[in-house]
Amino acid sequence: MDKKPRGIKYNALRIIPGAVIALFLGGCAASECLDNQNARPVAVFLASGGSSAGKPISVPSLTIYGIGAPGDSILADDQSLAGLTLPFRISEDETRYVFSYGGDLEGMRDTVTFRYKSVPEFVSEACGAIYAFDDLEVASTEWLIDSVVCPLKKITNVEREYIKIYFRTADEE
Amino acid sequence: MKNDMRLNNSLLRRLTVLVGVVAVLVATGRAQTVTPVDVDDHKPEAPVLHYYDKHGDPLAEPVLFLATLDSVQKAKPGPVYPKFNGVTVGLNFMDAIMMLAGQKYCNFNIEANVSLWNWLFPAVEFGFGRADSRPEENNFRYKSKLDPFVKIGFDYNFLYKSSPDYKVYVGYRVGWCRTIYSITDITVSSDYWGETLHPDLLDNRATAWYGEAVAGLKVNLWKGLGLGWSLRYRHKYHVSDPATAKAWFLPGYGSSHFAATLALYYTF
Repeated sequence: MDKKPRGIKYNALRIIPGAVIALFLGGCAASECLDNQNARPVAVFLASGGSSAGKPISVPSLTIYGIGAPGDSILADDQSLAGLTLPFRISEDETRYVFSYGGDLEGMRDTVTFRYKSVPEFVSEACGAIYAFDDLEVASTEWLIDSVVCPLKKITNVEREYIKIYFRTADEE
Repeated sequence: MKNDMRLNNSLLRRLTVLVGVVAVLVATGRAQTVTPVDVDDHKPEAPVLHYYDKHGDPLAEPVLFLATLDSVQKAKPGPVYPKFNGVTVGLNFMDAIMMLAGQKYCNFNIEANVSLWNWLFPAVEFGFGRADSRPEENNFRYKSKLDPFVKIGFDYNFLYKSSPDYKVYVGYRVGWCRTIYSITDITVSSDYWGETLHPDLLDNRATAWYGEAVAGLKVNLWKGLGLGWSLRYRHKYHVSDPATAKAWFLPGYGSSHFAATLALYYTF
C-alpha cells in the first residue's frame, strides 16, 4: 500500500513539542543569578602616600570586628589582609567596625563608621530580594587609616569595590 | 503451375478482404463502447515529429518535441485572492500547558486578524496575565494581579497564493501592559550581625511597552476551525517600574525574551 504524503498539518503538530522543550531549556538558562544574592560592601586596602600611593597593599596582623556584633564575634583575627567584605547591619542605619593592629602597632586601633539608608529591594527572580545601602557616608579615626572613600553612594548585590580604605605606609613617614 | 498461382492469389485476396471486414466490424464495435471524455481547451497540442533541423537539413532520425517553446507564462507577482478574505479569531492557551509543566505565570489572550489578499493580516491581541511565583531556592513570593495587555501588529503570509487553509507567516507586534504586583514573604539575613528581617514590597505598579517578532504556522483542521502555533521573540522598549521593585513579570510579555503560543482559530 502506498504511504500517504505527510503534509503541513502533520509537520505543524510534530514541531509543537519541540518548541515547548526549547522554551523549557531557555527558562532554565534565565534563572541564574549572575550577581550576589545579598549586598556585599567589599572593601579594598590601598596605600595613601609614598612610592606606592594608590596601589593595593596588604595590612599585616589585622583584627577587625563590628561594634555590637553578637558574641563579640571577630570578622578577621590577626590576619594579613588586602581587603574584605564588611557586612552592614540591615536593621540599623549605621555600622561601626574596629581595625585593631598588631606587631609594632600593638594597641593601636581605628574605628570606621558607615551611615546609610537600609532599603529592601527586589532585584530579580534569580537573585531575589536584598537590602541595599543607599546614601552612604563614612567617617573614621586616623591612626593608621589615612582616609576612607566610598566612590559609589549605593551598595548593591553587584560585585564591585565599594569601599577604599587608604592606610599610611612606612615609606610615607 | 500458372493455374495454381492464380488460385493462391485469389484465395489470398479473399482472405485479405475477410480480415479487413472483420477488422472493420471489431473496430466499429469498440468505437461504440468508448467512454466519451470532456473537451479540454487547455490541453497541450500533440507532440510533433520533426524531420529537418533548423537549417532545413534532414535529420538522421525524426525528433519528437515534447515541449513547446515560448509557452511558459510569466508568474503574476501580485495576490491571487480578493482584498477581503475573512476574519479569524483565536484563543491562545499555550500557558495553560506551560503552567501544568511548572511555569509560574500565565498569559491568555484572544486574537483577531483580517485576511487581506490572504497575504497581509493586520492583527489585534487582547488578554490578561498574572504571576504567582515562590521559588523554593529563593527568599520571596512574587504575586501580581490579573492585569491586561494589548498588542497590535501584522502578519505576512508566505503562502499567499496557496490555499487559505495553510499559513506560514512572520509578523510583528507592539504591546502595552500594566501590572500591579507585590513581593512578600521576603527573608533577608545578616549572619555576622545575627539579624533577619521580613520586609514586604506591596502594590508596586509598572507599565511597559514592548515589541514582539513572530514566526508561526496555522492549519485548518475542520471547516473554519484551525490550529496554530508561533514562536515569539520579545524585547522591551520602555518599562516604568519602581527602582526598588523591578517588575519580573509583564502581562503579554512573560519574564524572558522567548515565548510560544498555541491557539485555536475560527475563520468567518
